[in-house]
Amino acid sequence: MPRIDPLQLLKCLSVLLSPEGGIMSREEVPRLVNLMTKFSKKLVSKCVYLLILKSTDDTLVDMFMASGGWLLIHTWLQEAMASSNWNLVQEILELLLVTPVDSSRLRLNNIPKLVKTLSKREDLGDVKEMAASLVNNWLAIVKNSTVAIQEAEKQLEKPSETPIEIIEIAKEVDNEPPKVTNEIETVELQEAPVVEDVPSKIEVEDEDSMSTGMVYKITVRDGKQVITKLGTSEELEEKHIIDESDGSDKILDKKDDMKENKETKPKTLELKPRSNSSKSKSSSSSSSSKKSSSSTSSRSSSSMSTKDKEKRHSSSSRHSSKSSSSLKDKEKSRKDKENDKDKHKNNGSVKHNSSGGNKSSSNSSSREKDKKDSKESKDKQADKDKDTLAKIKPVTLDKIGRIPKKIVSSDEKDVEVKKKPSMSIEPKKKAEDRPKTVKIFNSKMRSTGLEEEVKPPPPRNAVKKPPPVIPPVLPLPCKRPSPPKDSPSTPPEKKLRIDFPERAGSIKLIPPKPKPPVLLESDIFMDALTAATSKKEPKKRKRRASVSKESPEDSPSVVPPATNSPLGLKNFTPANFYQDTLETTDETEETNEDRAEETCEEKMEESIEMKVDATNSDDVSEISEPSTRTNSDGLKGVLVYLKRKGPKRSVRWKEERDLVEVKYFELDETERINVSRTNFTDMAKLEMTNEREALLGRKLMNEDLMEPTTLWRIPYIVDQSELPVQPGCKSLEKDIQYAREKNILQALYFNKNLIPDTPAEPIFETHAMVDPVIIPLEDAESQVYDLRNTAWPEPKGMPPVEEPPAIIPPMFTNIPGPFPNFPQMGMPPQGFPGLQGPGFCPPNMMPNGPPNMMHNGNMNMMGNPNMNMGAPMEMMNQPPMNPNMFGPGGPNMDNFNPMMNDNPNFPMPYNQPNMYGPPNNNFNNMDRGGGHRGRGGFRRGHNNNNWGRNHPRGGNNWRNNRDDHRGGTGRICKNVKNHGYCRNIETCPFVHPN
Amino acid sequence: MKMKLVDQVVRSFRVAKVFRENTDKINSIDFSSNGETLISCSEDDQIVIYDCEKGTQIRTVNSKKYGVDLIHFTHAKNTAIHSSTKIDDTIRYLSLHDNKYLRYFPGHTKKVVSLCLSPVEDTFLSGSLDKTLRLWDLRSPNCQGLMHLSGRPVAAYDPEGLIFAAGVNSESIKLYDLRSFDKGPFVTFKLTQEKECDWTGLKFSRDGKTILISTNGSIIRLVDAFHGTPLQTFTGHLNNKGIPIEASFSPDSQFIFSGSTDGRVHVWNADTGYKVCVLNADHPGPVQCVQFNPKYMMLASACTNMAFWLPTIEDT
Repeated sequence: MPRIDPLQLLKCLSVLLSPEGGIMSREEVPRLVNLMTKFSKKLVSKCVYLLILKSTDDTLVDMFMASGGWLLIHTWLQEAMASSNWNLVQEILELLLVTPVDSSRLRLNNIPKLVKTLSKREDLGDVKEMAASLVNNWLAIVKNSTVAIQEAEKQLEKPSETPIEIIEIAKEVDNEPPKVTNEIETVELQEAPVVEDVPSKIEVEDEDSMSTGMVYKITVRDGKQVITKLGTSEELEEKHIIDESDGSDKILDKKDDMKENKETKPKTLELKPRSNSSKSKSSSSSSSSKKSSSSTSSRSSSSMSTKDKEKRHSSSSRHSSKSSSSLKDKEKSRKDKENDKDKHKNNGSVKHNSSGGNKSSSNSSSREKDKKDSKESKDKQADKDKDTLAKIKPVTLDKIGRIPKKIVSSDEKDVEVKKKPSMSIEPKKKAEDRPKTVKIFNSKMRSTGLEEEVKPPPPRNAVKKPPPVIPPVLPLPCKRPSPPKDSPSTPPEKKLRIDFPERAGSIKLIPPKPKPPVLLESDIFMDALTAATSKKEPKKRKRRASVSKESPEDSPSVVPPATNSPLGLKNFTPANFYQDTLETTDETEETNEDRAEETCEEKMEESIEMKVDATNSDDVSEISEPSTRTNSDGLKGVLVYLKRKGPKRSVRWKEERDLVEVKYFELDETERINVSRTNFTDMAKLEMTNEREALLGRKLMNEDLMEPTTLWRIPYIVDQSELPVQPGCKSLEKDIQYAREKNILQALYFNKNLIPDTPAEPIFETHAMVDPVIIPLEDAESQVYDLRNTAWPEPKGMPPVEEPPAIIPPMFTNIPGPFPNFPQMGMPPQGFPGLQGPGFCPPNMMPNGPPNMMHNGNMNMMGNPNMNMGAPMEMMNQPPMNPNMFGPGGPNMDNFNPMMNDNPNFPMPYNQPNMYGPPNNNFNNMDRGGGHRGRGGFRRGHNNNNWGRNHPRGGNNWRNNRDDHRGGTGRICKNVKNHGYCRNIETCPFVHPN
Repeated sequence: MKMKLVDQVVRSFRVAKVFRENTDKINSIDFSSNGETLISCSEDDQIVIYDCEKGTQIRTVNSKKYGVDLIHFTHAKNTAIHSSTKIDDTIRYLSLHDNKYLRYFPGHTKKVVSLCLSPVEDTFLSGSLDKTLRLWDLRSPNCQGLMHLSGRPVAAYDPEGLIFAAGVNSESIKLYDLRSFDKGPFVTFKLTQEKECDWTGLKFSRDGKTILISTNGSIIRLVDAFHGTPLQTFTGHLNNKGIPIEASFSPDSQFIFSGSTDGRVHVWNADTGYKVCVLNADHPGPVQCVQFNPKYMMLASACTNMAFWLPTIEDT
């Protein structure tokens, strides 16, 4: 199993955690529960999780317990007891003390029993006491006695105990991680020194305990960030400064350039006092060791050494990895440590190892491990850490990490917008901070937005400040920003100072932004709205602004006020941000002090952010340096701090540039085409489909005249020979499906809309892949009939002429069915060309005319382009018409008149007989059918007289005929049918409905 | 009640039912072997099943995901296979009973243009524009036999299910014995290559004596199934759109039916080669599918509409 670096683990979890190290919000609880249940097998992770829970708000802890955490804690407790790891047990008990419980939860599992057994163990001092108090509390709860009060009391008691507990925990952590990760031998060796060192560490911690505790919390919150922050704070303090510088250097090395870091280090040290204090606590091992060994050594040198160390430790420097990989053995690793120390050039490097181990044990678990193990162990761990990180990071960081970034970006935007209203924002923030509850924020937000315009910022501050008077609890949360100035002084002072500077800084920031002008300019409602939105931003802003907006440039200006206002420390401004403690801010303190505090806070935050950036991104150069220093110690400090003072939270925003992620893509032409352009072929296809749909729709509407012409009845069976084989007689699948259908419900769809678009997919089957048998195209033995020289037979268009007469008589008599209906059907001209052709054919009509000619003539009249030589024959085959049909058929001829005009050649065959052969009488007799044919003759210029004489008659006949047939046929005018009206309604022979 | 199919009966066929279930061209129809049901598939991805005795539409199934073409009943009552027009060219085995695919037959890489089912077994043949002909078994998604051709393949089983014919490159017909198809064709008919169109379908007559070759032009060929002798050429119908118009036999093998792009149905006498009649049902679009019911005196033709024809002449 790869070792788990608590620092890395915290980094991974940082997304889910509040700045204080507790669970960030309700949404994160279930995720953390899952994470903890999945990845809590190692002691390191258990400890980290315990610390997280301890620094979590009670309500969230309750939620955590409710969603499975209670069982998880139970398993942890069991395991801890089974392994006699009393330090862990104590941690768990501390958590249980803070955890809200009720009788039902207590009955959920046998945690109470375990605790009770612990309370009776005489060999366990602190553990027994804690267990006993727990038992008492729970007994009281079970008895429905004043549960809340007891819990509160217990919780109150805890903070006082915290320093000691923290130390113990640190020891535990130190001892535990080596056990898990390192070999047993190394662990034992390390443990002893750790214990010895503890007292010294405790002293250091005691000094810083109150103030440093705050710092630690900060580190815990952000994971990576926290650590870095601590380091910077410590640097301010002389002792801590050296250590911190080492830490920062390490970080820097990890990140990028050694040289740049060195140069920037001195600056960062000066600028970032807070980091030092935090670092001292968190990275007490490194700092203390450095102090003792090379306390007076130049910062640059220390930074160099620390850089080297860091490279090896945190970032799993190449040297360390190489050495560790090659030696692998612990002893070897120790030797390597010494070598490494030499390489580091720092005299204190060796000392750091020893002292670092001690310090680390006291403070932070992760760093403690490293310190204890010394650089050797660190190197090993670094390698292992890399492995673990590689495993862990992709899961947690990738998934979770991006979300916060987005949020941050939005926040930053808000911050930018808010710049103008900053004046008013500060007071609002304070007010918001006081109430804690979300409701308060919202209401204030709106009010503040409006107020900003009207009221000047200073009066508000004054007014608001008076109400909050409660300082005591608040100061604890301020831990993180131990100002460098405070570092020389006692740790508690640091806390106070830090708080003040933050406030002052925020105030200062506000004034530069031109709020008043904005207010004056706009009386409009929209302005009020924007102001309101901007107000929201200010809330975020305090935190953000301190972190992101206010650049290092602002910090120098802020620094002086922070130093000037030591009294402001008491105000506990940091607490205000996260807790109800806004009230704690002293009324007496003026806005100026607040401003100074804010500025200080901003500086602190900035420095922290810078650190974070440095750790996160390689790009950060100068700014990142200070932050880097704090890395090593930050984790430990955070954990400890959280234990002591309970839930304190801080939110920090990354700098704007860190929020921007730039990725370079190469333009993929095809990709872009897919998105923006429509392929030409696609367009063509689309066009085609659209056109087809349109045509289809039109067809269906106008051209689909398809109607059944006979009634349905059960069809006759075809009289035919039986098939040689029964269809499907050899089918096995048929039987399979019959059997299947018996067991499966039929899919019934009672509505066409219910039919699914696609049948269900088949059940996945596994069939062994079998290559198909290749079917050859040729076979030497096969018969080949080469018929290529045999031409295809010519198509035979029509049967011999004799056939139709033979067929006609029976048809004529036997088929009355469709044809009696013929006149009434109102056949369209093209409907039954075949019928018409033969219909006019019969000799009765044109005895003189050749039948074939008649056929052709009719065909042309029909204008049917499809007719070919075969066509007449097929028409011949159609049942012939009754001679009586001729009368009604006459009108059809009218329709064809125009067509005749278009076909000058048509009349020729008929004209000549008409002109010369038949007398006028004949012509007259034929008036209906052949009168119009005379036109051809007219053209010829012959028989003008005849034509002239006949013409009127013919025309009359036409008219008469039309009139006669108008009522009889009942056919509807084509124009009316197609267009809805007929222009020639007066003269049109057809029926016009309406 | 049985009826002999003779010329006048054929001429007397009239549309008795018109179904407008589809919104796009019907591209394939198939009667069940007992003649009681007809299945059709359309380019609007609907599969519609009709009752041929009652003249009603029974049910509709969609296959919008894969598209559907060349649908054929299998021997079970409620199963069918069809080729795909979308996604890929897999052949799909569909249970109409519960509207579920039973099996896929992947292998072809281009559009499947020929699909026929053994009249007695579970095997079926598919030809694709990827110039392969594949032999399958309904019970396995694995291809049983693979033939690489030089052109567009068409295939058909003989009515006894003993041999199958493969039309290659519109110029030759190869007959394979199903029991030894891996040894190559036992007979090859080399014919004059079609110049103006491609073979799009082969059909054995029900008596197994002749093979009908339908094309995507306005020409239909009939060859002797034993010697490959060209017997008839049927023309007169229109195919000016290059679509594969189906030509089919009457059950007694005496008549050839074919659609036409002018919406009419042309009938020829298989023996004489003369045209018997042209049946007009006012189909608004090209009639791509025409089949005669294998059992009943009933004809089905389809453009976008489905038409059922019945004879209007009383049996004498």
